[in-house]
Amino acid sequence: MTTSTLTHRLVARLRRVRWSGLVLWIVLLLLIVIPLVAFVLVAISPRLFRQGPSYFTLSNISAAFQGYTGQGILDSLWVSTLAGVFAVSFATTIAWIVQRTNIFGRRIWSGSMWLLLLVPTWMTTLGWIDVVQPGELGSALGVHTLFFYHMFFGASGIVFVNATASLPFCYFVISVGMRGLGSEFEDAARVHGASRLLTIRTVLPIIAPALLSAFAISFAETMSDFGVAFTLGSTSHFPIATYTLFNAIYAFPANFPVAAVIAAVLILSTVPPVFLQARVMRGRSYAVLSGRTKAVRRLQFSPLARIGVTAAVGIFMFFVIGLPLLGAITSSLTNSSSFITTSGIHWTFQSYRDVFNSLPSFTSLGQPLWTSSQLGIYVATGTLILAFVLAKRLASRTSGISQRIADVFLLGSIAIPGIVLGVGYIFFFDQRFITSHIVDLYETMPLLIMGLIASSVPSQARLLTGPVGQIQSSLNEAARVHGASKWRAFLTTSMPLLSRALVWAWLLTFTKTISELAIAQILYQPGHEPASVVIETYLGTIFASIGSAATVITLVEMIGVIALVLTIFRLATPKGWRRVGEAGVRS
Amino acid sequence: MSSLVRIFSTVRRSAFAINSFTSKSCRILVQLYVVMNLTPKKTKRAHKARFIAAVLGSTVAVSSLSVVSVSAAASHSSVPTILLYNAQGYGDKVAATFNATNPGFKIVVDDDSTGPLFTKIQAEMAAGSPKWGMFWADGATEFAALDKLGYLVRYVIPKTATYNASGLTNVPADRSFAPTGVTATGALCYDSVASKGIKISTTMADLTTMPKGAVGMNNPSQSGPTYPLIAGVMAHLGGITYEETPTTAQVNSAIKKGESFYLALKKNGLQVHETNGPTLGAMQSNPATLDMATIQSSACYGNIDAQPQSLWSTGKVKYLDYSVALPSNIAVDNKLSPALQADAEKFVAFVTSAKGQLAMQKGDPYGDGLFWPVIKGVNPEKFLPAYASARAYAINPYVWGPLENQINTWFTNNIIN
Repeated sequence: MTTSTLTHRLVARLRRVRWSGLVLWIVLLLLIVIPLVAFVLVAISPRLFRQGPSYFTLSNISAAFQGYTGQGILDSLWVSTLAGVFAVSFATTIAWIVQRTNIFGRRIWSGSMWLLLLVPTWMTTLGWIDVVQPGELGSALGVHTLFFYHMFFGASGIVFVNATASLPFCYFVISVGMRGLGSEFEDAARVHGASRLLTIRTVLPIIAPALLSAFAISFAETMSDFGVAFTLGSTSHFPIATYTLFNAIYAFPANFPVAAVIAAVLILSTVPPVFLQARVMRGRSYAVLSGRTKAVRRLQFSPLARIGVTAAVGIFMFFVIGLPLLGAITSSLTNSSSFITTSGIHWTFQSYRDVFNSLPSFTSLGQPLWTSSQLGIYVATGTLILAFVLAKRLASRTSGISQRIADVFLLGSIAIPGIVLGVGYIFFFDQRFITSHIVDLYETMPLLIMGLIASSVPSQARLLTGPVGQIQSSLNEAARVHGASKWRAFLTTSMPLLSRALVWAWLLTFTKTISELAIAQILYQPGHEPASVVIETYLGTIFASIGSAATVITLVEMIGVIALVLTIFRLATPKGWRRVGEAGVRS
Repeated sequence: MSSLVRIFSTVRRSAFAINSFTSKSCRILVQLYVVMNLTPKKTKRAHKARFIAAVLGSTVAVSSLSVVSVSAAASHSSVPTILLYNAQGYGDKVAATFNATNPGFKIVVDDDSTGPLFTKIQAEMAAGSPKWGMFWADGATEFAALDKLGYLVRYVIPKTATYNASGLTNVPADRSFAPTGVTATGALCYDSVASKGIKISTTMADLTTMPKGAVGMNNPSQSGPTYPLIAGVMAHLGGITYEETPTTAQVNSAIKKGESFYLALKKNGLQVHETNGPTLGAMQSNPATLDMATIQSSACYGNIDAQPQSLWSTGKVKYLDYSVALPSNIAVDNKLSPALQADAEKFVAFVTSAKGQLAMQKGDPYGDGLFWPVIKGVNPEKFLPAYASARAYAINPYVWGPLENQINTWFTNNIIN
């Protein structure tokens, strides 16, 4: 065989390579896979990272499944399952009430879900502590909170906070499913003599993909949640895996190998829900949407029932989001260690003043909040681009091995605790051969941005897969046939339909970035602490009220940015873009 | 299509009416144009709105560019820099004071809690390219751990340091870390109103006879100064002094006695809160859910002596028959270049000088500045009693440091759970 023939073959083979896919996988390898593998490798080969004498050992695996850490893994599994079941059940009920009945204030309830989605679990937990801890808001309202306090600092509190944290995501996924489900299915069941209960049992399986996907995400999010572990887990007297992982990493000296085993278990634990889902759905069709899908007919409650159902949803939402927020706000309006002191409640704005004119030993919030906002812009933009590309691949009609791997990989990535990613980034990007010969990124903003993008991309790609999957390729093809360039075709066909989803994905990433703590605490650039790190330094101390004030200010900033971006969206986009997203929905 | 792929893409086929015009593709564009509502009259207004939005968006985008330039500024400083991993409230101020008079190099401060900083140090060492230059925090056990791992410059304490008795007690044999101050952990903080009618105990052992549920402490897995307290109680009960190198049997015996003490406290309703903040909050709340707690003295003084007005006017601090010395220490990374090591040692010399000790007090006068100086001729702040009254018992960090995980796990399993 001549050299020229070989060259031709090589050129031909290179031409067949799908470069876009290759580049995407290189990016994912650098952002997620390699740092994660670097961390997990310590479990079986501690010597690779100077963590022990063995190049290969299984002793850390057996150590991780014993005693306190082993109990933590078991607890996490059932807590995540229970949180997922609760989140899906409540989300289905609320989604049905909001989407399919004439309840008052539908926009308010959807808006509350967005607010709940934006608030990180550590904020919710601290808000609840400000309510149920004796001497706090609950006591001020005359409630004997000791019982609730002990309940909250236990398995029930962890399940509750994680279920409420998963609730909004489940709500949005299930709502989309319900919007497409015309009322003809219910009518058919009723016509055939089914009772209300039987009707529900008949119709609900039709949206099984939405229910199962909501459960899988809830499970993965709860397994990896660091906020509850960091706040509630430490005093709950109930070990969960993320807390034992946190303990292993923050021990003196750190036990990275055992932490790596726990991390691997957390990631692998997402596999069963995925395969269960696949098994349940195998060979069945759940396609109910088409161009002929009829608009939803809402159930008309009687006036009294309508008021009753609205009040029930209102009370539920107040407990889920209103009360913890109220706890944080009231705590921020005092500057004592306890809300009620021996000399009464001392209302003051001092904590808000202290936030910006900090005490000598603390950093004021102004600069960190600005740093976090800037980080948010970069991370949200980077995440949006990468998540969109991934979502397009996931939604592609041509199923391939790469697509399947991406699918499982993304769900597994959701279960990676931020702290693991953070330490993994140090293990990989601070390697001498990289810092000396390639690039020295550790403790710089670009590495923190990369870490935050890596933690946001999996869930955002999942979120965008639905909207991206809705768009028929014929739209783009029509534009191309009429001479539009690729970019123009995208701008004129997909962009109008996706604009709302993209804007909300950007906003969600932006707000999550501002409140992200686990990765930020490990990777931030010295002297440029993000807001979450500064808030955390206040919250564990006697100046917790300043931390509460900083939390409230951060939340207000998040909501302000959402309002600003939505205003820009409203000003910048044609009216039709906004209308397109609402097509088919009667309100 | 694989069922796996369908997992999350719940809505596959479009609900949008316009998507179904597949056979007459040209109509889609026309329809889309109509849906966009871009009539000539409105085009002008839309352009104006887009212009405003573009200006707003560009302003935000341009201002955000500084976040990348920020990273460049720090890493390309004109003088050599040494990264100080700092968990002390006064660290920033002291570094600024030092930098002002030492222009040849710059101390850059990375502020955080002890736990995350310690983790970062170990992860960096594991990766092989450490960035930290110095580490400054409360406690000695973590420094002993780093020393045992071979990470620290030995004989880092300058000959010019004139330690007083409390300082000398906490100097390690290989001088691999330098004590910079002492506080006491295990001081009894109590609320004079909440504990009215209770005869406050005078010894550590008496705490087990206080009214049920009256005594509290912090969680050693969360609160830095709490493990040294537990280790100190065990060492005291076992009669193991700072200078002593005890046998394993002696240590095990001390641990058993300590465990019995904490089990007795638990039996009497010991309350374990996460850190100083919640523990103090429980004593200050109305009604108080906790009467007294053995915690770090400086945390109590910080609340009681807060300025411009006390945050806890009814709070008191009482020293029992012994408390446990909690020295703050500073150490230098031995992977630094010799030149930078020499520069870092200048900073160590500064904080172990009278001038440096005063800078520490001034840097956080109502917080971490409430320590007992370890250098001769420097007085503590006026709020503090004489160091002798604290009857602080020093522990050997090389003996008790390696036992931290074991004892904390026991505490979690048997006292907290």
